[in-house]
Amino acid sequence: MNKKNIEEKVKTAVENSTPDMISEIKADAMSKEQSAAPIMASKPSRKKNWLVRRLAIGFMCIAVLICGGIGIYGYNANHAVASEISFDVNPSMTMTVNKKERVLSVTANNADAERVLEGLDFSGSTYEVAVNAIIGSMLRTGYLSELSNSVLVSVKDGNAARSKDIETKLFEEIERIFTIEKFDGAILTQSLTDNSELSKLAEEYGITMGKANLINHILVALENSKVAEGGTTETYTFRDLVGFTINELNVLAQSLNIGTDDISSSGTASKEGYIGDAAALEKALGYAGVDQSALTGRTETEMDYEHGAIVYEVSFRDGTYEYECDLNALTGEFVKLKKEVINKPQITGEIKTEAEISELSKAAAGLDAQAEIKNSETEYDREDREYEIKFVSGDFKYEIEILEDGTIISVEKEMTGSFQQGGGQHGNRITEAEAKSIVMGAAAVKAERYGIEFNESLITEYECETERENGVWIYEIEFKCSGFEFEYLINASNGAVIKGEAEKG
Amino acid sequence: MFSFSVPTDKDSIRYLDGCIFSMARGDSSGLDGLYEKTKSAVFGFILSIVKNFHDAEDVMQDCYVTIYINSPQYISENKPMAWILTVARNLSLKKLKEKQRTELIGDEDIEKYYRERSLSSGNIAEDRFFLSEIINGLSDEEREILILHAVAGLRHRETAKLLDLPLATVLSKYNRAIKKLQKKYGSREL
Repeated sequence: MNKKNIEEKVKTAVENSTPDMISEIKADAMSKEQSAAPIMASKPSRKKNWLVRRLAIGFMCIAVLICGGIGIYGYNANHAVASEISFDVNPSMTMTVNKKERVLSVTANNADAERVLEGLDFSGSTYEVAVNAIIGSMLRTGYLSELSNSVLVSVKDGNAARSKDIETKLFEEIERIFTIEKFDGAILTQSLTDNSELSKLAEEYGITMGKANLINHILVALENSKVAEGGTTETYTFRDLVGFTINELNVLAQSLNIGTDDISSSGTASKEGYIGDAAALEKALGYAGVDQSALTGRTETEMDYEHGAIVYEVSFRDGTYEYECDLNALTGEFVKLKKEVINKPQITGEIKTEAEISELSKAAAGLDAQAEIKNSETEYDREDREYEIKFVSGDFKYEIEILEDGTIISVEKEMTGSFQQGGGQHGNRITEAEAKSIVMGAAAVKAERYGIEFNESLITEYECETERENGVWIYEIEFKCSGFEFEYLINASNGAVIKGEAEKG
Repeated sequence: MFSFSVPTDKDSIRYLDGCIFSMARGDSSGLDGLYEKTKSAVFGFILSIVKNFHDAEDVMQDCYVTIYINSPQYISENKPMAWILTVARNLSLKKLKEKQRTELIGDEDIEKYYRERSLSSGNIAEDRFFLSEIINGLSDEEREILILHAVAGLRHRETAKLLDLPLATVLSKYNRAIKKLQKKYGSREL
């Protein structure tokens, strides 16, 4: 009998003697996972994790052995940074890669990234392997979730062709992971070159160049869209958008139809954290004082950015007016309402005095005669024989167009403050109750997706803490429900869900 | 009997990496895939160290559970089998240390084990011969080297790296193991 026959027979004998133990193994793995999972996610317990540490050391030894074979030859090729790849979700991290596409370092740019990278060691692995672990960890830790499903990958490399190649490979790899995980994610990728303006912005705000570039594109699109609408003269600054998560920026980018050669976009940014189109319409109708049954024609809902917040821009009409109402997408708070007559009438009635016009304008704004008015401006258009009256009252500014016979042409009411800078309903922070309400809505979505019975009456061990991370106040809300532990991080300045996680325990 | 393909080609490496990354994300279906693809190699390698079926079963269970729990720490380097077998080896050596000594396996032990586990074979006599000879007739190193190449599909240089032995030693011990089995097989009484 020759060598090959012997090998075959050895193999067959071992295969035949191998027991089928997958059921026992899975049951054991699941039960041990329960106790091991928190250990992985947080600081390891010495007693329980001795094996993990031993194995980790063992694996590192293998990595060192494998890498060690490379020797001194090619030292520079191995250690010189060829590409810089950043990953932004809300966790933000930067990876450096050598010419051989091996990872040299991965640096956390914020506290969320530190959590994602905890326990991961990429030294010597390929960037594809590293991205797999990073995206996997972001899914596992809840930073990538059905509420915040967008990831931005930015590649900076002196060699444009290689940069594009890495960008494509990373895109395909992340898409593959999302498919395997049945995760409905959205991916933004871009290749960057050295740019001193972007570097400066990134450094000033402590963000990646990739995020800075995305914000710049959105700012340009926002300005263009406002100019096209011919409306507000509001200017938007980099600072306005810098605190937004990538999902929020992606919601804006997609609603503004940002189509550039240098940013590729795939998938749809999640709007699950927002109140939803139907609730937005209901709120908008309430603000306008219009009954649903009075609506004619189509209603439209788009996303936009106003006063420091992502807003729903809801358009609808009744028999007389067309309306456009902006409301905070997270909380439903009022931002702006404009109503305008569909068919401008002819002047038929008696001509009013300027004082009468002023009183009529106040009434059209929904204010009583005693309401205090500031910064009033009145302009008269001789050609159209109409007044344009602007004033401020309380926390709102108004703009009324009224014909000289007192017929109202349009009424616009808009908040004066900003949700980010303290002018919103609750100053510069949402309340704990609002944060809880956002979390309950988000948790209900997650529970439905995973078939977890969820009801506020089933919640136990509810805890809410506030903490400040990277200059941003955050609500950290934890509770248990139906055998699952829920953990949420909510940006206190705008109510955005930074992290949403549910795990057995 | 399952057909076993040696997981050292590129597709298999990618498949095993995918299974481990799935496990790292808490998806237990990755464990099914990994087990199906590697069980014979892992069981054979463990058996070659602990030299006892029941101990091999215990260690195999611990091995896959350990792999599942530690999958988030996995660094691919395109060597998933090296990682899996390192875990298997460490746990096997631990078991061996606990037990202090091992008993030789008799033919009746093998048949009893097949019956207990309802394992089927086209030729139980041949299986019995080879399992018995591998466990009782080869040295520890010969046995491990043989299993790593013939069953786990490792190249000899990969075996050398895993067992921390010179390549020349691995090659000579492998050939010696094959020769021993050839000789015994030629003079066997079936």
